[in-house]
Amino acid sequence: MAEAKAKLQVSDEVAIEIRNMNKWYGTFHVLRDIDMTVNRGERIVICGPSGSGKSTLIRCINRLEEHQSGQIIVDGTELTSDLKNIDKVRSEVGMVFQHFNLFPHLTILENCTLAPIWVRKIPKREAEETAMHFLRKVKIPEQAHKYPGQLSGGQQQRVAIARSLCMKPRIMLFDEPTSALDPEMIKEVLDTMIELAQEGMTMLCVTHEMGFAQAVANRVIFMDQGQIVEQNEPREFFNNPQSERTKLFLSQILGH
Amino acid sequence: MHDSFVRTEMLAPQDPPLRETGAVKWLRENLFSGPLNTILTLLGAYIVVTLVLMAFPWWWNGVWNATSLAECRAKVAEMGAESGACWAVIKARWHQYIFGFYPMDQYWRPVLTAGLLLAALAPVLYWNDRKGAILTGIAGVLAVISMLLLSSPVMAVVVSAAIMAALFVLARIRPRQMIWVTLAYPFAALFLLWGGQVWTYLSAILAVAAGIGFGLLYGKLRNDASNLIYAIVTAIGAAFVAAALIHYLDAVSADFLTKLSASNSFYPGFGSGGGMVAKTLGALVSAVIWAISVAVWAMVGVMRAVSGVLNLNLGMLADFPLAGTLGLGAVLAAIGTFKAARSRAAGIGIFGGLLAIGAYWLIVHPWLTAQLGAAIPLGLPRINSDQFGGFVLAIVIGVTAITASLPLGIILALGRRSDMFLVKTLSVGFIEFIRGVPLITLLFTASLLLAYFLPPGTNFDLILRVIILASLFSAAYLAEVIRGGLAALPRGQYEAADALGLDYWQAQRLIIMPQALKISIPGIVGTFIGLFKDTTLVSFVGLLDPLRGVTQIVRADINWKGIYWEPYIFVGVIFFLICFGMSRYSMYLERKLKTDHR
Repeated sequence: MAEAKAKLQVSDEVAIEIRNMNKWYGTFHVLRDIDMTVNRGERIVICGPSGSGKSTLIRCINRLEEHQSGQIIVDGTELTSDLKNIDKVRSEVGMVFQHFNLFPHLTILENCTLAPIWVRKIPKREAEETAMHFLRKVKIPEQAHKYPGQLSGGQQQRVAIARSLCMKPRIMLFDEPTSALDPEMIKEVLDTMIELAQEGMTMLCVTHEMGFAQAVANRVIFMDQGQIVEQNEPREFFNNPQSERTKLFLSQILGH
Repeated sequence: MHDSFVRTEMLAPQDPPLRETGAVKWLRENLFSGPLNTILTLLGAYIVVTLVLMAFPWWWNGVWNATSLAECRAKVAEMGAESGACWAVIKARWHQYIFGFYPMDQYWRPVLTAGLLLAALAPVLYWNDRKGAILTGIAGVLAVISMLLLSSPVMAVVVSAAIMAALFVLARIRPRQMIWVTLAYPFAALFLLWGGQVWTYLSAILAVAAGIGFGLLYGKLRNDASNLIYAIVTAIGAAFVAAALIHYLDAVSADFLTKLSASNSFYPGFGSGGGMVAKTLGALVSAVIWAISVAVWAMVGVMRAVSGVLNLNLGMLADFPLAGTLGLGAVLAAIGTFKAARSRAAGIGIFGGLLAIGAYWLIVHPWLTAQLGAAIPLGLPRINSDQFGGFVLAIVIGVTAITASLPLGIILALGRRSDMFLVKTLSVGFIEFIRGVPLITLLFTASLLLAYFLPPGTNFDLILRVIILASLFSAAYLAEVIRGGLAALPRGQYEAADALGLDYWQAQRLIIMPQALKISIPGIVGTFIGLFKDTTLVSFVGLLDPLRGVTQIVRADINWKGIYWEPYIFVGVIFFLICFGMSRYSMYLERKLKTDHR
């Protein structure tokens, strides 16, 4: 694993840039002065206690949440209220949700081909070939004609990953992808994500899977109360945390 | 102390004990599960048996051949029975219950319309092409048999049989093309039912095609210059339509105000005969009427002022139509060109399409139909709306209103959930207003009040007015039903659609609506059934609905005076069959769409 990780290159090209970003829910200040830069090929794990704003942060990156001040620039496109820019960013950024959010009325294959056909305007035949390619990659091509309700949680999450990949995104966001899964199924999803990381995908992942962070991340960000408290490369982060808040958090989740 | 245990082989499943299956189990669980339930079962059985014994002689001694109620009663007495149904009235008058006063020699027209209706519905109701073809075939056979039984003209039967056979063949070999039959059906139905020159209806199809074509053209334009030209053409067209609209509004408002002022003499009429209460009521009504007329005057005044100001010539305030036309036309042209230059908004395409329909209707249509009608007169005898009645009327109103109200309901539901303040307020206002008012009030509005808003001299078909109001009424209910379905969808579905880059309408059409409508099927079909039964209320505005309208006419006949149960049972059974069919279909649809495997 460490060997695979060593091979991964991070380029100098900036994929996501966030400057002085602030967000409020009503009067509640959820994200405070967020500054971060993500280079192409980086694998970032964001962790922190619940309510720390980590999900909100990555949901701002594809504008599922609106930020009120500061700048978010994704692949050179700044996110503003201009719908055109939002659609452009969303078609470049894939997202995997905690609860999979597959479309229950469509088959697995239709789930995967819907956006390429309607957003990318790719012919149906071609979209289906791409979808089958990615379904093979997440190791469930045989489920293509079933409905999401017939699959296990782990399989559904892998379909969700394949669905995002079908749009050929340059950046992938993962919002607690394994939190809703049974322990037996977490591994199959993490394996898929590790494979993706090894192919050089730019990834931002909100997760509590510290094993995953150590295996593939090149940076771990710890958030609390809407702020970035500490960020470091994983070994330093886990072995030598600097802030008291981080130490407490790590002792709580690694304590058993 | 615990012994350790390791299972060496897994157990195979076994059959359940005998007393847990079969009829004995069912009886025990459902009817005789305890002393109280046993008593209730026996009591229920007693009541059912008593009721059947009471009603049975009436049904059993029914008389089918008689020319009057008196003859019926004589025959029943002859048989030595105490009571007996007089079904002879149905035998004598059934055609009025079905067709109203539609001319007898034209009965084949509604029959063919009904046959075509089933054929047109087939591709909508079933995904399974074979089922669609079977439905089309059955509809054809039934239509032809009915025509033969109704001794229709030979030509009509032959032509109808040929049409239905052609549709059946089409449904068998090219089921995908059946959707064109569905789209053409409204025009065919209008032509068959109301008659007139066939060119009018063909021209209407052409108008729609021209509109859609012109609208779609916008999507095909590839560069900014052609976009701009399109937008300018559309804007100029809009200015013309605005001119027509403002002329019309001016005429209407003047006429409306005259009528309102006249109706204010209502007050003394109300108050003169009565006491204090009546006088107070009269004064209140009078005040309301005055308030409305003042509001309308104020609105007209504001419109005049705005149009004058927009034209930057305050001296033209007096000349409202011209100023308004120029002002509005200028604004629309500006908006249109601005939009076109800024983005390729689909709205301009839709707007252009509508304008093309309007222009065609105003200019090409009258000329074309006159020319063709003079050259090749081809058509069916004209039937007036007051000749419609019975189930033909109920089904015409029901089917049209159902078809119109579903898309309207969806739009209202989306509007109510919209973030845009104005859209939301208008939707909420519309829904709450319509739901707060009884349908009969709306029907009265359709028959009486709408005339106030129309320019003097226009004759707007009463059936059409009723259909519009019935559609709006059920659309408001549907909107709430569909909103329930929308609310039941998890937020994750919207987020997933957004995250994949689908725009609002794509997300609604592909992700949200299929699921929301599926959840709402029971409610939607419930609303449809309610709407269909509510068509009987049109008797209040003088249309011949099957339940009250036709029955009153039948009972006004000296021969059938005093008949009571039989017509209502007959009408009730037909209503039940149709509504039960809808309900069964909705259950089929729910089964068919069940993909969540919960």
